Amino acid sequence: MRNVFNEGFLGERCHPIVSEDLAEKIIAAALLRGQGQDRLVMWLLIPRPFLIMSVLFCLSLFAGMGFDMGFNSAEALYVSEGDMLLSFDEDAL
Amino acid sequence: MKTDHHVQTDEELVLQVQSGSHDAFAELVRRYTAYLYRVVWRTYPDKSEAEDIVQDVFLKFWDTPQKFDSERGVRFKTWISRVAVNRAIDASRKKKPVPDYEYLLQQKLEDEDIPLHDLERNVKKMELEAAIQNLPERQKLALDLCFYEEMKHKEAAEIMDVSVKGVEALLVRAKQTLRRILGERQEDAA
Repeated sequence: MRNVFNEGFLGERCHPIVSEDLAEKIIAAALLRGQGQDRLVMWLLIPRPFLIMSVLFCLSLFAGMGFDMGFNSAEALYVSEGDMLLSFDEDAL
Repeated sequence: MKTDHHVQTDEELVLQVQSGSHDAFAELVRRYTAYLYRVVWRTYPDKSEAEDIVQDVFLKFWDTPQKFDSERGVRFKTWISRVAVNRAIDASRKKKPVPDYEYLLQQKLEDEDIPLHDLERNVKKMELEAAIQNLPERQKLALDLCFYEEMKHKEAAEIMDVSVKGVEALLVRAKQTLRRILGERQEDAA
């Protein structure tokens, strides 16, 4: 059996050679994306339950205090006199 | 004539990257791309996937350079090697790579002008590569770092997160396993 630990034999192993432009590609990609850009995108994308719950809590607090939150438009609130009359139960009248 | 050209250490460059210097980042990338590619390829022998891993490791470092803390006493080369090796191991666990030995041989042929008709020698090289690829993960990594990257056992141990004695034991086992695999192949061929 040949001696596989003869350095000459182990040293025969081929070495992978990197593409010449890989380093430049990486440098260009870093320049394009800017430092920390990924972190900002991640920060925006990660769902934040506490933040969402806090916003909802504030909205419900304001609504409870009777503030007009602007969700109901004037048009939606408007009911004509005729509609009100028609909506009454005849028996009650 | 004496030149006043100070070659910055990796750690000096990292400090500059942490302050947002793209030039310092470019210098580190130029220093370590070929080395990291070799280390990653030997763990995950697929050209395009190895290139993607190297690119991803560097871009992650560019995004969050603070993750490297020089005060812990770890060298930048050791730290980035560990990150890249772990990525390559994860990738190889998810998807077993199909080694492109032909690509390797072509590269070697172009580089050293080996005659194309030296078929037997090429077959032996492919046998050796296949045997090394069939080694258990950690044995292969120890062999790659200590033998092919000529690292000190201490440095390899830091990358692999084991003791120096652990690396030495892995090297002994790697040699025994290789001897067995190549011995069996020779017996099969006879």
